[in-house]
Amino acid sequence: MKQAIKTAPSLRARETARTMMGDMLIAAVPLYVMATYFYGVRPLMLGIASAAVCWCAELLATLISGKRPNFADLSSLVTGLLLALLFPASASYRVVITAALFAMLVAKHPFGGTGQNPFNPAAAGFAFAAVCWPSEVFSYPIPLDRLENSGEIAARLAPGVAELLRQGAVPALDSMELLLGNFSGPMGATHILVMETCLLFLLIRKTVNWRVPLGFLAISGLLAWLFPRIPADPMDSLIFELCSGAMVFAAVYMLPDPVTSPKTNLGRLVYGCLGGVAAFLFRRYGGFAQGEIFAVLLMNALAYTIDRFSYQSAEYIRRVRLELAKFNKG
Amino acid sequence: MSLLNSTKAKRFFRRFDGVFQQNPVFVLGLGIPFAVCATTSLRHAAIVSIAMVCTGVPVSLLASLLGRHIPKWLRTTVYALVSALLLIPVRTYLQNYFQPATLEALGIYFSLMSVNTVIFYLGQSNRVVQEKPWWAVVIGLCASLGFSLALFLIAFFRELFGTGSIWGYPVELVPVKLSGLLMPFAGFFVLGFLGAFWQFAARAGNLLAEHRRSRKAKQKASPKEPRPAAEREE
Repeated sequence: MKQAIKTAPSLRARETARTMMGDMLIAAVPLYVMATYFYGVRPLMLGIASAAVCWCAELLATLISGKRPNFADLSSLVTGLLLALLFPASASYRVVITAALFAMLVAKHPFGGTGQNPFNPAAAGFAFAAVCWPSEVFSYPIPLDRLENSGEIAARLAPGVAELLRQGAVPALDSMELLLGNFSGPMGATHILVMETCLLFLLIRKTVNWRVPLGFLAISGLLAWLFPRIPADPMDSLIFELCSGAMVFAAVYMLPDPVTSPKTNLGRLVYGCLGGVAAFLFRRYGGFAQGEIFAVLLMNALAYTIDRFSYQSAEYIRRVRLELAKFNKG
Repeated sequence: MSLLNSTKAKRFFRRFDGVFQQNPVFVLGLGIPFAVCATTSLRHAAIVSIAMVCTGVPVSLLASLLGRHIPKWLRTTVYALVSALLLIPVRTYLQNYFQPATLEALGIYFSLMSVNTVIFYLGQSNRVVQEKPWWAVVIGLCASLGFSLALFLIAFFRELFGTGSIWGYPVELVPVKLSGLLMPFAGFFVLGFLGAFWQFAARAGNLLAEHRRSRKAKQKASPKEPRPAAEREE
Protein backbone atom coordinates (compact mmCIF):
# COMPACT_ATOMS: atom_id res chain seq x y z
CA MET A 1 0.00 0.00 0.00
CA LYS A 2 1.37 3.35 -1.00
CA GLN A 3 0.27 6.51 0.72
CA ALA A 4 1.05 9.80 -0.93
CA ILE A 5 1.73 12.60 1.55
CA LYS A 6 1.19 16.01 0.03
CA THR A 7 0.79 19.46 1.44
CA ALA A 8 -2.74 20.58 2.11
CA PRO A 9 -5.32 21.19 0.74
CA SER A 10 -5.33 17.63 -0.56
CA LEU A 11 -7.37 17.32 -3.69
CA ARG A 12 -9.44 14.72 -5.45
CA ALA A 13 -10.30 14.87 -9.13
CA ARG A 14 -12.62 17.69 -10.17
CA GLU A 15 -12.20 19.24 -6.76
CA THR A 16 -9.83 22.13 -6.39
CA ALA A 17 -8.92 24.45 -3.56
CA ARG A 18 -11.09 26.98 -5.36
CA THR A 19 -14.22 24.85 -5.30
CA MET A 20 -13.65 23.94 -1.64
CA MET A 21 -13.24 27.58 -0.66
CA GLY A 22 -16.23 28.46 -2.84
CA ASP A 23 -18.29 25.91 -0.91
CA MET A 24 -17.19 27.49 2.35
CA LEU A 25 -18.22 30.91 1.03
CA ILE A 26 -21.64 29.55 0.05
CA ALA A 27 -21.98 27.96 3.48
CA ALA A 28 -21.15 31.28 5.17
CA VAL A 29 -23.83 33.24 3.29
CA PRO A 30 -26.90 31.80 5.14
CA LEU A 31 -25.30 32.76 8.46
CA TYR A 32 -24.96 36.34 7.25
CA VAL A 33 -28.60 36.31 6.17
CA MET A 34 -29.65 35.13 9.64
CA ALA A 35 -27.41 37.66 11.36
CA THR A 36 -28.82 40.46 9.21
CA TYR A 37 -32.34 39.35 10.13
CA PHE A 38 -31.52 39.41 13.85
CA TYR A 39 -29.30 42.48 14.16
CA GLY A 40 -29.75 44.71 11.10
CA VAL A 41 -27.12 45.61 8.52
CA ARG A 42 -24.22 45.90 10.93
CA PRO A 43 -23.13 42.20 10.79
CA LEU A 44 -22.94 42.44 7.00
CA MET A 45 -20.80 45.58 7.25
CA LEU A 46 -18.51 43.87 9.78
CA GLY A 47 -18.15 40.86 7.50
CA ILE A 48 -17.36 42.98 4.44
CA ALA A 49 -14.82 45.05 6.39
CA SER A 50 -13.13 41.93 7.73
CA ALA A 51 -13.04 40.19 4.34
CA ALA A 52 -11.69 43.29 2.62
CA VAL A 53 -8.96 43.74 5.23
CA CYS A 54 -8.02 40.05 4.94
CA TRP A 55 -7.84 40.24 1.14
CA CYS A 56 -5.67 43.37 1.19
CA ALA A 57 -3.40 41.95 3.91
CA GLU A 58 -2.99 38.73 1.93
CA LEU A 59 -2.06 40.69 -1.21
CA LEU A 60 0.41 42.80 0.76
CA ALA A 61 2.02 39.79 2.45
CA THR A 62 2.30 37.90 -0.84
CA LEU A 63 3.98 40.86 -2.49
CA ILE A 64 6.38 41.31 0.44
CA SER A 65 7.40 37.66 0.30
CA GLY A 66 8.11 38.03 -3.42
CA LYS A 67 5.48 35.60 -4.72
CA ARG A 68 3.05 36.21 -7.53
CA PRO A 69 -0.42 36.99 -6.11
CA ASN A 70 -3.00 34.33 -6.93
CA PHE A 71 -6.34 36.07 -7.43
CA ALA A 72 -8.19 32.76 -7.82
CA ASP A 73 -7.38 31.92 -4.20
CA LEU A 74 -10.50 32.58 -2.13
CA SER A 75 -9.09 31.44 1.22
CA SER A 76 -8.50 34.96 2.51
CA LEU A 77 -12.14 35.88 1.87
CA VAL A 78 -13.27 32.71 3.68
CA THR A 79 -11.05 33.58 6.63
CA GLY A 80 -12.41 37.12 6.76
CA LEU A 81 -16.07 36.11 6.55
CA LEU A 82 -15.76 33.31 9.14
CA LEU A 83 -13.74 35.50 11.49
CA ALA A 84 -16.41 38.23 11.62
CA LEU A 85 -19.14 35.66 12.37
CA LEU A 86 -17.46 34.76 15.67
CA PHE A 87 -17.78 38.29 17.06
CA PRO A 88 -20.90 39.76 18.65
CA ALA A 89 -22.84 42.01 16.30
CA SER A 90 -21.98 44.91 18.58
CA ALA A 91 -18.20 44.50 18.19
CA SER A 92 -16.46 47.63 17.03
CA TYR A 93 -14.76 47.73 13.63
CA ARG A 94 -11.41 48.33 15.34
CA VAL A 95 -11.57 44.93 17.09
CA VAL A 96 -12.61 43.00 13.98
CA ILE A 97 -10.01 44.67 11.77
CA THR A 98 -7.24 44.03 14.30
CA ALA A 99 -8.26 40.38 14.45
CA ALA A 100 -8.26 40.15 10.65
CA LEU A 101 -4.82 41.72 10.43
CA PHE A 102 -3.49 39.35 13.10
CA ALA A 103 -5.01 36.38 11.28
CA MET A 104 -3.36 37.22 7.97
CA LEU A 105 -0.08 38.88 8.90
CA VAL A 106 0.86 36.88 12.00
CA ALA A 107 -0.97 33.54 11.91
CA LYS A 108 -0.93 32.79 8.18
CA HIS A 109 1.76 34.40 6.08
CA PRO A 110 4.91 34.14 8.25
CA PHE A 111 4.37 30.36 8.16
CA GLY A 112 4.24 30.21 4.37
CA GLY A 113 0.82 31.41 3.28
CA THR A 114 -2.10 29.46 1.86
CA GLY A 115 -1.86 25.74 2.51
CA GLN A 116 1.11 26.00 4.87
CA ASN A 117 -0.34 27.65 7.98
CA PRO A 118 -0.24 25.41 11.07
CA PHE A 119 -3.04 27.30 12.83
CA ASN A 120 -6.46 28.22 11.54
CA PRO A 121 -6.05 31.96 10.81
CA ALA A 122 -9.63 32.86 11.72
CA ALA A 123 -9.39 31.04 15.05
CA ALA A 124 -6.03 32.66 15.80
CA GLY A 125 -7.36 36.14 14.98
CA PHE A 126 -10.40 35.65 17.17
CA ALA A 127 -8.28 34.28 20.03
CA PHE A 128 -6.00 37.33 19.87
CA ALA A 129 -8.95 39.73 19.93
CA ALA A 130 -10.50 37.76 22.80
CA VAL A 131 -7.30 38.05 24.82
CA CYS A 132 -6.97 41.78 24.11
CA TRP A 133 -10.60 42.91 24.57
CA PRO A 134 -12.39 40.18 26.56
CA SER A 135 -15.22 42.42 27.80
CA GLU A 136 -16.05 43.69 24.31
CA VAL A 137 -15.79 40.35 22.57
CA PHE A 138 -17.81 38.36 25.11
CA SER A 139 -20.79 40.68 25.70
CA TYR A 140 -23.59 40.28 23.23
CA PRO A 141 -26.61 42.35 22.13
CA ILE A 142 -30.13 40.94 22.44
CA PRO A 143 -31.50 39.54 19.16
CA LEU A 144 -33.99 41.56 17.12
CA ASP A 145 -32.46 44.79 18.47
CA ARG A 146 -31.55 47.03 15.56
CA LEU A 147 -27.93 48.14 15.92
CA GLU A 148 -26.34 51.32 14.57
CA ASN A 149 -24.14 50.81 11.54
CA SER A 150 -21.25 52.77 12.96
CA GLY A 151 -20.23 54.64 16.08
CA GLU A 152 -21.17 53.81 19.67
CA ILE A 153 -23.65 51.02 20.31
CA ALA A 154 -26.60 52.21 22.39
CA ALA A 155 -28.24 48.78 22.74
CA ARG A 156 -28.06 46.88 26.01
CA LEU A 157 -25.36 44.19 26.08
CA ALA A 158 -25.55 40.96 28.07
CA PRO A 159 -23.23 38.01 28.73
CA GLY A 160 -23.90 35.02 26.50
CA VAL A 161 -25.46 31.68 27.33
CA ALA A 162 -22.01 30.10 27.72
CA GLU A 163 -21.24 32.57 30.54
CA LEU A 164 -24.56 31.73 32.22
CA LEU A 165 -23.66 28.03 32.09
CA ARG A 166 -20.27 28.82 33.57
CA GLN A 167 -21.93 30.51 36.52
CA GLY A 168 -24.14 27.46 36.99
CA ALA A 169 -27.43 29.07 35.92
CA VAL A 170 -30.03 27.34 33.75
CA PRO A 171 -30.92 29.55 30.75
CA ALA A 172 -34.66 30.13 30.28
CA LEU A 173 -34.85 29.10 26.62
CA ASP A 174 -36.99 26.53 24.88
CA SER A 175 -35.54 24.21 22.28
CA MET A 176 -37.13 25.96 19.28
CA GLU A 177 -35.52 29.27 20.24
CA LEU A 178 -32.22 27.48 20.70
CA LEU A 179 -32.38 25.86 17.28
CA LEU A 180 -33.29 29.07 15.49
CA GLY A 181 -30.63 31.09 17.29
CA ASN A 182 -32.97 33.51 19.04
CA PHE A 183 -30.63 34.09 22.01
CA SER A 184 -27.71 36.38 22.66
CA GLY A 185 -24.44 35.04 21.36
CA PRO A 186 -21.87 35.48 18.58
CA MET A 187 -23.60 36.93 15.55
CA GLY A 188 -23.08 33.90 13.31
CA ALA A 189 -22.72 31.05 15.76
CA THR A 190 -26.19 30.85 17.34
CA HIS A 191 -28.19 29.66 14.32
CA ILE A 192 -27.92 25.94 15.06
CA LEU A 193 -30.43 24.69 12.48
CA VAL A 194 -28.91 26.77 9.67
CA MET A 195 -25.44 25.56 10.57
CA GLU A 196 -26.57 21.92 10.57
CA THR A 197 -28.01 22.44 7.10
CA CYS A 198 -24.73 23.96 5.95
CA LEU A 199 -22.91 21.00 7.45
CA LEU A 200 -25.10 18.67 5.38
CA PHE A 201 -24.30 20.68 2.25
CA LEU A 202 -20.57 20.61 2.99
CA LEU A 203 -20.68 16.86 3.71
CA ILE A 204 -22.47 16.11 0.44
CA ARG A 205 -20.00 18.27 -1.46
CA LYS A 206 -17.20 16.39 0.39
CA THR A 207 -15.61 19.66 1.41
CA VAL A 208 -15.82 18.53 5.02
CA ASN A 209 -15.03 15.01 6.18
CA TRP A 210 -17.77 13.71 8.49
CA ARG A 211 -15.30 12.32 10.99
CA VAL A 212 -14.15 15.66 12.35
CA PRO A 213 -17.41 17.53 13.13
CA LEU A 214 -19.34 14.45 14.22
CA GLY A 215 -16.52 13.18 16.44
CA PHE A 216 -16.19 16.62 18.00
CA LEU A 217 -19.92 17.05 18.65
CA ALA A 218 -20.40 13.46 19.84
CA ILE A 219 -17.59 13.56 22.38
CA SER A 220 -18.38 17.02 23.72
CA GLY A 221 -22.07 16.09 23.92
CA LEU A 222 -21.26 12.85 25.72
CA LEU A 223 -19.05 14.70 28.22
CA ALA A 224 -21.76 17.32 28.81
CA TRP A 225 -24.29 14.52 29.38
CA LEU A 226 -22.02 12.66 31.80
CA PHE A 227 -20.79 15.69 33.77
CA PRO A 228 -23.48 18.41 33.77
CA ARG A 229 -22.47 21.64 35.48
CA ILE A 230 -25.99 23.09 35.80
CA PRO A 231 -28.72 21.79 38.12
CA ALA A 232 -30.83 20.31 35.32
CA ASP A 233 -31.54 17.13 33.44
CA PRO A 234 -28.41 15.62 31.75
CA MET A 235 -30.19 15.86 28.39
CA ASP A 236 -30.82 19.59 28.95
CA SER A 237 -27.18 20.03 29.89
CA LEU A 238 -26.18 18.35 26.61
CA ILE A 239 -28.44 20.61 24.53
CA PHE A 240 -27.40 23.82 26.27
CA GLU A 241 -23.69 23.02 26.15
CA LEU A 242 -23.77 22.18 22.45
CA CYS A 243 -25.91 25.16 21.45
CA SER A 244 -24.16 27.84 23.53
CA GLY A 245 -20.98 29.61 22.55
CA ALA A 246 -19.58 28.61 19.19
CA MET A 247 -19.53 24.82 19.59
CA VAL A 248 -21.39 23.96 16.39
CA PHE A 249 -19.66 26.76 14.50
CA ALA A 250 -16.26 25.42 15.56
CA ALA A 251 -17.30 21.90 14.57
CA VAL A 252 -18.59 22.88 11.11
CA TYR A 253 -16.38 25.76 10.00
CA MET A 254 -13.23 25.81 12.14
CA LEU A 255 -12.04 22.29 12.96
CA PRO A 256 -12.44 20.58 9.52
CA ASP A 257 -10.42 23.28 7.73
CA PRO A 258 -8.55 21.22 5.08
CA VAL A 259 -5.23 22.96 5.74
CA THR A 260 -4.94 22.52 9.49
CA SER A 261 -6.67 19.18 10.08
CA PRO A 262 -5.07 15.70 9.70
CA LYS A 263 -4.98 14.03 6.29
CA THR A 264 -5.76 10.42 7.30
CA ASN A 265 -9.23 9.15 8.14
CA LEU A 266 -8.24 7.60 11.48
CA GLY A 267 -6.37 10.81 12.28
CA ARG A 268 -9.46 12.89 11.51
CA LEU A 269 -11.58 10.82 13.87
CA VAL A 270 -9.01 11.06 16.68
CA TYR A 271 -8.63 14.79 15.97
CA GLY A 272 -12.36 15.42 16.25
CA CYS A 273 -12.74 13.37 19.44
CA LEU A 274 -9.72 14.94 21.16
CA GLY A 275 -11.05 18.33 20.08
CA GLY A 276 -14.30 17.57 21.88
CA VAL A 277 -12.41 16.71 25.08
CA ALA A 278 -10.27 19.85 24.78
CA ALA A 279 -13.32 22.07 24.17
CA PHE A 280 -15.05 20.57 27.23
CA LEU A 281 -11.99 21.20 29.40
CA PHE A 282 -11.45 24.74 28.08
CA ARG A 283 -15.07 25.67 28.70
CA ARG A 284 -15.13 24.15 32.17
CA TYR A 285 -11.74 25.22 33.52
CA GLY A 286 -10.44 27.86 31.11
CA GLY A 287 -10.38 31.61 31.56
CA PHE A 288 -13.15 32.33 29.05
CA ALA A 289 -16.64 30.89 28.84
CA GLN A 290 -16.32 30.38 25.10
CA GLY A 291 -13.23 28.20 25.07
CA GLU A 292 -13.83 26.07 22.00
CA ILE A 293 -11.85 28.39 19.73
CA PHE A 294 -8.80 27.89 21.94
CA ALA A 295 -9.44 24.15 21.75
CA VAL A 296 -9.38 24.44 17.94
CA LEU A 297 -5.98 26.13 18.12
CA LEU A 298 -4.66 23.46 20.49
CA MET A 299 -5.85 20.69 18.18
CA ASN A 300 -4.30 22.42 15.16
CA ALA A 301 -0.97 22.21 16.94
CA LEU A 302 -1.49 18.46 17.45
CA ALA A 303 -2.72 17.70 13.90
CA TYR A 304 0.68 16.69 12.54
CA THR A 305 1.42 14.40 15.50
CA ILE A 306 -1.98 12.72 15.17
CA ASP A 307 -1.35 12.13 11.47
CA ARG A 308 2.04 10.57 12.19
CA PHE A 309 0.61 8.28 14.84
CA SER A 310 -2.15 7.14 12.54
CA TYR A 311 0.37 6.35 9.78
CA GLN A 312 2.43 4.37 12.29
CA SER A 313 -0.58 2.48 13.61
CA ALA A 314 -1.72 1.66 10.06
CA GLU A 315 1.75 0.30 9.36
CA TYR A 316 1.69 -1.74 12.59
CA ILE A 317 -1.71 -3.23 11.79
CA ARG A 318 -0.51 -4.16 8.31
CA ARG A 319 2.54 -5.94 9.75
CA VAL A 320 0.47 -7.84 12.32
CA ARG A 321 -1.87 -8.99 9.56
CA LEU A 322 1.03 -10.21 7.46
CA GLU A 323 2.45 -12.14 10.41
CA LEU A 324 -0.94 -13.71 11.11
CA ALA A 325 -1.32 -14.74 7.48
CA LYS A 326 2.12 -16.37 7.59
CA PHE A 327 1.25 -18.14 10.86
CA ASN A 328 -2.05 -19.44 9.46
CA LYS A 329 -0.37 -20.75 6.33
CA GLY A 330 2.49 -22.39 8.17
CA MET B 1 48.31 41.04 -0.43
CA SER B 2 44.75 42.32 -0.54
CA LEU B 3 43.50 38.88 0.52
CA LEU B 4 45.80 38.91 3.54
CA ASN B 5 44.65 42.42 4.43
CA SER B 6 41.01 41.49 4.17
CA THR B 7 41.38 38.38 6.38
CA LYS B 8 43.22 40.47 8.95
CA ALA B 9 40.51 43.09 8.86
CA LYS B 10 37.89 40.39 9.10
CA ARG B 11 39.59 38.89 12.14
CA PHE B 12 39.75 42.32 13.72
CA PHE B 13 36.13 43.20 13.07
CA ARG B 14 34.80 39.76 13.94
CA ARG B 15 35.39 40.62 17.59
CA PHE B 16 32.65 43.25 17.39
CA ASP B 17 30.23 40.99 15.52
CA GLY B 18 28.25 40.23 18.68
CA VAL B 19 26.39 43.51 18.45
CA PHE B 20 24.98 43.24 14.96
CA GLN B 21 26.11 40.52 12.53
CA GLN B 22 26.23 37.73 15.12
CA ASN B 23 23.62 39.08 17.54
CA PRO B 24 23.13 36.36 20.19
CA VAL B 25 19.33 36.65 20.24
CA PHE B 26 18.28 37.60 16.74
CA VAL B 27 20.88 35.73 14.69
CA LEU B 28 22.22 32.91 16.88
CA GLY B 29 18.93 32.23 18.67
CA LEU B 30 20.45 32.14 22.18
CA GLY B 31 18.81 33.29 25.40
CA ILE B 32 15.30 32.91 23.98
CA PRO B 33 13.52 32.48 27.37
CA PHE B 34 14.76 35.90 28.50
CA ALA B 35 13.88 37.49 25.17
CA VAL B 36 10.34 36.16 25.51
CA CYS B 37 9.48 36.23 29.21
CA ALA B 38 11.57 39.11 30.56
CA THR B 39 10.52 41.64 27.94
CA THR B 40 7.04 42.64 29.03
CA SER B 41 8.41 46.02 30.12
CA LEU B 42 11.55 48.04 29.49
CA ARG B 43 12.47 47.90 33.20
CA HIS B 44 12.59 44.11 33.13
CA ALA B 45 14.72 44.25 30.00
CA ALA B 46 17.07 46.68 31.74
CA ILE B 47 17.45 44.44 34.79
CA VAL B 48 18.19 41.37 32.70
CA SER B 49 20.59 43.33 30.49
CA ILE B 50 22.57 44.60 33.47
CA ALA B 51 22.76 41.06 34.81
CA MET B 52 23.97 39.89 31.38
CA VAL B 53 26.76 42.49 31.17
CA CYS B 54 27.82 41.81 34.76
CA THR B 55 28.13 38.05 34.13
CA GLY B 56 29.05 37.85 30.45
CA VAL B 57 32.17 40.01 30.61
CA PRO B 58 33.82 38.26 33.61
CA VAL B 59 32.97 34.84 32.21
CA SER B 60 34.62 35.55 28.86
CA LEU B 61 37.67 36.98 30.65
CA LEU B 62 37.81 33.83 32.74
CA ALA B 63 37.45 31.68 29.64
CA SER B 64 40.40 33.33 27.96
CA LEU B 65 42.55 33.16 31.12
CA LEU B 66 41.68 29.67 32.36
CA GLY B 67 39.72 28.08 29.53
CA ARG B 68 42.63 26.06 28.18
CA HIS B 69 43.43 24.62 31.62
CA ILE B 70 39.92 23.49 32.52
CA PRO B 71 38.81 20.20 30.93
CA LYS B 72 35.93 20.67 28.50
CA TRP B 73 33.39 18.70 30.54
CA LEU B 74 34.00 20.88 33.60
CA ARG B 75 33.84 24.27 31.85
CA THR B 76 30.04 24.58 31.83
CA THR B 77 29.83 23.94 35.56
CA VAL B 78 32.59 26.41 36.36
CA TYR B 79 31.02 29.19 34.31
CA ALA B 80 27.55 28.56 35.76
CA LEU B 81 29.00 28.68 39.30
CA VAL B 82 30.94 31.87 38.62
CA SER B 83 27.97 33.65 37.09
CA ALA B 84 25.67 32.50 39.90
CA LEU B 85 28.15 33.94 42.41
CA LEU B 86 28.29 37.20 40.45
CA LEU B 87 24.52 37.54 40.35
CA ILE B 88 24.22 37.77 44.16
CA PRO B 89 25.92 41.19 44.50
CA VAL B 90 24.26 42.37 41.27
CA ARG B 91 20.84 41.71 42.75
CA THR B 92 21.57 43.59 45.96
CA TYR B 93 23.01 46.45 43.89
CA LEU B 94 19.94 46.58 41.63
CA GLN B 95 17.65 46.84 44.67
CA ASN B 96 18.87 50.43 45.10
CA TYR B 97 17.62 51.46 41.69
CA PHE B 98 14.53 49.33 41.02
CA GLN B 99 11.47 48.75 43.15
CA PRO B 100 11.34 45.34 44.83
CA ALA B 101 8.04 44.63 43.04
CA THR B 102 9.73 44.94 39.64
CA LEU B 103 12.46 42.54 40.68
CA GLU B 104 9.90 40.16 42.17
CA ALA B 105 7.85 40.22 38.95
CA LEU B 106 10.82 38.83 37.03
CA GLY B 107 10.61 35.76 39.24
CA ILE B 108 12.87 32.89 38.31
CA TYR B 109 14.21 34.64 35.21
CA PHE B 110 16.72 36.73 37.17
CA SER B 111 18.30 33.70 38.82
CA LEU B 112 18.13 31.76 35.56
CA MET B 113 20.57 34.26 34.06
CA SER B 114 23.37 32.23 35.70
CA VAL B 115 22.72 29.30 33.35
CA ASN B 116 22.19 31.53 30.33
CA THR B 117 23.10 30.09 26.94
CA VAL B 118 24.91 33.29 25.93
CA ILE B 119 27.32 32.73 28.81
CA PHE B 120 28.01 29.16 27.72
CA TYR B 121 28.45 30.32 24.15
CA LEU B 122 31.03 32.86 25.32
CA GLY B 123 32.77 30.41 27.63
CA GLN B 124 32.93 27.48 25.21
CA SER B 125 33.60 29.08 21.84
CA ASN B 126 37.16 28.81 20.57
CA ARG B 127 36.97 32.41 19.49
CA VAL B 128 37.05 33.50 23.12
CA VAL B 129 39.26 30.78 24.55
CA GLN B 130 42.04 31.41 22.03
CA GLU B 131 41.90 35.21 22.29
CA LYS B 132 44.01 37.42 24.50
CA PRO B 133 42.23 38.51 27.72
CA TRP B 134 41.75 42.08 26.50
CA TRP B 135 40.02 40.96 23.31
CA ALA B 136 38.01 38.36 25.22
CA VAL B 137 36.57 41.18 27.34
CA VAL B 138 35.68 43.09 24.16
CA ILE B 139 33.95 40.03 22.70
CA GLY B 140 32.02 39.43 25.92
CA LEU B 141 30.99 43.06 26.11
CA CYS B 142 29.85 43.10 22.47
CA ALA B 143 27.79 39.92 22.87
CA SER B 144 26.22 41.27 26.06
CA LEU B 145 25.44 44.56 24.34
CA GLY B 146 23.87 42.74 21.42
CA PHE B 147 21.76 40.72 23.85
CA SER B 148 20.70 43.89 25.66
CA LEU B 149 19.91 45.67 22.39
CA ALA B 150 17.68 42.83 21.27
CA LEU B 151 15.89 42.70 24.62
CA PHE B 152 15.36 46.46 24.65
CA LEU B 153 13.94 46.39 21.11
CA ILE B 154 11.48 43.59 21.90
CA ALA B 155 10.52 45.18 25.23
CA PHE B 156 10.02 48.57 23.59
CA PHE B 157 7.48 47.23 21.10
CA ARG B 158 5.71 45.04 23.62
CA GLU B 159 5.45 47.76 26.25
CA LEU B 160 4.43 50.48 23.79
CA PHE B 161 1.70 48.43 22.11
CA GLY B 162 0.79 46.26 25.08
CA THR B 163 0.43 48.75 27.92
CA GLY B 164 0.75 52.04 26.02
CA SER B 165 3.72 53.28 28.05
CA ILE B 166 7.48 53.66 27.82
CA TRP B 167 9.57 52.93 30.94
CA GLY B 168 6.37 52.98 32.97
CA TYR B 169 5.26 56.44 31.81
CA PRO B 170 2.02 56.45 29.80
CA VAL B 171 2.41 57.64 26.22
CA GLU B 172 -0.41 58.74 23.91
CA LEU B 173 1.07 57.40 20.70
CA VAL B 174 -0.81 54.23 19.80
CA PRO B 175 -4.58 54.22 19.20
CA VAL B 176 -5.15 50.59 20.20
CA LYS B 177 -3.90 48.85 23.31
CA LEU B 178 -3.19 45.19 22.58
CA SER B 179 -2.86 43.61 25.99
CA GLY B 180 -2.43 40.25 24.26
CA LEU B 181 1.13 41.31 23.44
CA LEU B 182 2.05 40.93 27.11
CA MET B 183 1.44 37.18 26.95
CA PRO B 184 4.40 34.88 26.30
CA PHE B 185 3.13 33.66 22.89
CA ALA B 186 3.21 37.21 21.55
CA GLY B 187 6.81 37.48 22.77
CA PHE B 188 7.71 34.65 20.39
CA PHE B 189 5.94 36.41 17.54
CA VAL B 190 7.63 39.77 18.19
CA LEU B 191 10.99 38.01 18.52
CA GLY B 192 10.43 36.22 15.22
CA PHE B 193 9.45 39.35 13.33
CA LEU B 194 12.30 41.46 14.71
CA GLY B 195 14.76 38.61 14.11
CA ALA B 196 13.63 38.36 10.49
CA PHE B 197 14.09 42.09 9.98
CA TRP B 198 17.45 42.01 11.73
CA GLN B 199 18.78 39.15 9.62
CA PHE B 200 17.45 40.79 6.47
CA ALA B 201 19.29 44.00 7.36
CA ALA B 202 22.49 42.11 8.22
CA ARG B 203 22.42 40.16 4.97
CA ALA B 204 21.65 43.28 2.93
CA GLY B 205 24.57 45.08 4.61
CA ASN B 206 26.91 42.18 3.80
CA LEU B 207 25.78 42.10 0.18
CA LEU B 208 26.21 45.85 -0.21
CA ALA B 209 29.72 45.76 1.26
CA GLU B 210 30.66 42.87 -1.01
CA HIS B 211 29.28 44.67 -4.04
CA ARG B 212 31.18 47.84 -3.23
CA ARG B 213 34.41 45.90 -2.65
CA SER B 214 34.17 44.04 -5.95
CA ARG B 215 33.45 47.27 -7.83
CA LYS B 216 36.48 48.95 -6.28
CA ALA B 217 38.64 45.96 -7.19
CA LYS B 218 37.41 46.10 -10.77
CA GLN B 219 38.12 49.82 -11.01
CA LYS B 220 41.63 49.26 -9.70
CA ALA B 221 42.32 46.34 -12.00
CA SER B 222 40.83 47.55 -15.25
CA PRO B 223 43.26 50.36 -16.33
CA LYS B 224 46.33 48.09 -15.93
CA GLU B 225 44.89 45.16 -17.86
CA PRO B 226 45.51 45.15 -21.61
CA ARG B 227 42.31 44.72 -23.55
CA PRO B 228 42.16 41.22 -25.05
CA ALA B 229 40.01 42.34 -27.99
CA ALA B 230 42.52 45.00 -29.00
CA GLU B 231 45.35 42.43 -28.88
CA ARG B 232 43.51 40.20 -31.26
CA GLU B 233 43.01 43.01 -33.75
CA GLU B 234 46.74 43.67 -33.87
